[in-house]
Amino acid sequence: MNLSIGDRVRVRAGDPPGHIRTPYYLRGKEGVIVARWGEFRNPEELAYGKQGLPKRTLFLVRFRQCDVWPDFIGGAHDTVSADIYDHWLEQA
Amino acid sequence: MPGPHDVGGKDFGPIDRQDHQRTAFDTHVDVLQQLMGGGGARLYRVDELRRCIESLAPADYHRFSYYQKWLTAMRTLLLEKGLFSRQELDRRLEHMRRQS
Amino acid sequence: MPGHDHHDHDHDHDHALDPHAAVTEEERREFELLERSIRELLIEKGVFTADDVRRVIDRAATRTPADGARVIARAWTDPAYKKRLIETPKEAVEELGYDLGPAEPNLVVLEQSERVHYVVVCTLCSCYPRVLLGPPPDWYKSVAYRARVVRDPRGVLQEFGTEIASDVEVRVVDSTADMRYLVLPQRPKGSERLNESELSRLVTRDCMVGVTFPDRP
Repeated sequence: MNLSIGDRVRVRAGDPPGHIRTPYYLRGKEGVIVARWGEFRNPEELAYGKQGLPKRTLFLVRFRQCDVWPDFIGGAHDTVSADIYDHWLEQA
Repeated sequence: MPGPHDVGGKDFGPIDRQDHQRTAFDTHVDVLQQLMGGGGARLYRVDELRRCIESLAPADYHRFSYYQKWLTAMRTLLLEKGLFSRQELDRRLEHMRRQS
Repeated sequence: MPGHDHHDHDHDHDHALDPHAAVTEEERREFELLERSIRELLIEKGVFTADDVRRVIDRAATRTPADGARVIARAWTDPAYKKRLIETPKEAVEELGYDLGPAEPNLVVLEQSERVHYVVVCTLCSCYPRVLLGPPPDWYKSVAYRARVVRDPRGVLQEFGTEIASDVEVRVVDSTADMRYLVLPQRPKGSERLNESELSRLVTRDCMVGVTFPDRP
């Protein structure tokens, strides 16, 4: 899967056990990739003493707040962003 | 079901903006982390420490201080990795209790 | 450890602050004994020595927000440096003598502007640009901040005395992975005559997280 800056993506909706760095409040939400940070070892595996290889690509994904919280009170253009690993993203 | 650490979007009331004095206990736990973590003996990665903290019972996650959580996680990891046995640790704790 | 006795739960407030659930004095002492026990066992096992412990305790303090403030003040006075700081933060910070090292190679600088206001959090734990700011404040590590700032950033900013106009985009950045975020605030109006050292004194820890603006001159 070839994700790039500007792509519209959806965070996977799963709820696997273990050490997950994709926050619950963003699962299943749609946003836009605004930065690509490079490759990093997978923390889900590092957390259990494994090597965390192969490395995963890390992206900064930006979400409109009104898309994340149904009752959001704030600026219409307010956003929240998070660093998400590629295996948690799919094309929207 | 999110772990107790995955708090984005929840409501825990007003934010206490006051800085609190670091205790001797806090410093000692921080020292242990420096000596065992990345800059020191590298017995475990920070990801493993986080995983242990996230596995705390929710009540403990919320009531233990930052460094109490770290120390609890360190105990789990050091036992897991066989640095000492549960019996060794319990014997030492019992010895400490009698002395204090 | 005593268990937590759950009573009725049909209220919205996530009661992490139930006074019945505080750490007891006995538990607190047990934690101290646990730390000493672990420390002694590890010394006996040869993982480190008592001298190592003393050395680390006596070691010079970690970084403080004054270090981040120096970087910000340089960016305010030198536009070419500011550009380098935003585009290649690691190298720019190292120019000022800070060695980010392998611990935090992944610094990102977020520039405040008239149109965009950044505020940083780590909802999952307490990731923070320690290598430039030192340890995070207690409020940054608190579940209250971590939980609310992603959902009600303007309300949280108000608690810090910070008002953001409704046509400004508030961008919350959640440090969920390997990157560490440092906010580059706007240089305050009326500070044109101040030198770099005077400017750095206006740069507070909180404005480099994004919950406040820098101090006025």
